[in-house]
Amino acid sequence: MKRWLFLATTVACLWGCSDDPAQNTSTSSSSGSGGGSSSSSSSSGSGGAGGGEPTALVSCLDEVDGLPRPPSGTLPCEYIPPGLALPQ
Amino acid sequence: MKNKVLSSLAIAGVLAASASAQAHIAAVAPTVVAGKTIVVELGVGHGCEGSDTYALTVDIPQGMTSVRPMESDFGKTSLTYDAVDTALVKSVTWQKDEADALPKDTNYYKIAFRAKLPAAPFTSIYYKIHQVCRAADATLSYAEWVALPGEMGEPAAAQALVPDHLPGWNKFTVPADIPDLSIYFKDALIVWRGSDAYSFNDATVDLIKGTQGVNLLSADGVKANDEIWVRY
Repeated sequence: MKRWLFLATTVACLWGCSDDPAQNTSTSSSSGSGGGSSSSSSSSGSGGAGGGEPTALVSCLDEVDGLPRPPSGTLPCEYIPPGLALPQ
Repeated sequence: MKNKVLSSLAIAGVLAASASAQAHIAAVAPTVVAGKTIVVELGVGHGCEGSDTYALTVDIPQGMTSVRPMESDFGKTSLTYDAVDTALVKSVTWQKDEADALPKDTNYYKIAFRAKLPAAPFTSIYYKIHQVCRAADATLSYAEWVALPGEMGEPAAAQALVPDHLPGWNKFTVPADIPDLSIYFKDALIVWRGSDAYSFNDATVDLIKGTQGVNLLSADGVKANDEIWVRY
């Protein structure tokens, strides 16, 4: 019984470990930052092994609507001095 | 046809005016931080009606101390001192050797001196400059750049003294009326007095006009003791 349990654990571990590099590679290529880079750089970018959700790194330019950009027609908030409240 | 001639004359007038404006003896930096020790650079745009500049004397403005002139194309310098405070430099003269005088007025010159500026923000200092030119036949001619604002004659070189400031928000209390904000705030992103705002940048002026609850700062500028926020 113990042998089966050990075998099942080993197989599960191997399967999980072999899956990580594939995920890293796809993340790297989708962000466009490391096309053609070695697998070592991919794994270092993911923050190490552990099987967690990979974090997609998206450059600011890929989210053109993510930040307010002038000209918006009104003063941006960083041009309003401390303590001045304007009607919304 | 008449319109064409008139417009040509107008364009020629504008070009002539801008050319003469560039040709004055002027401070290279139009604004400087009050109370700081800096290198004052004065640019000499031209000589006198075709003659090369041979010598220049700069009267040091009142309140300016620690003057140390730098040598230039004119070679060595000579100084005059205050009669009472004998360490205080009153004027600096740069003069070429006769052999170095050029046959024609072809060159732009820069003269410079290190000095400590008066600690008087939101004021201007004026450098009265006496120019001597020398023609190829050794004839000397003179130009006086000494007129203060509102006076007749060739204008003295000016520098506006701004308060020490950092990038970001700065709060100042204005010591005297400032009718023309562009003299001191050309390089500021925006200036606020209460809910009134000013910017030298036309794009920012449009944003001020488009923002509810904000007015353009009035054309007569700010008054003594006004509290203002300035973002650099």
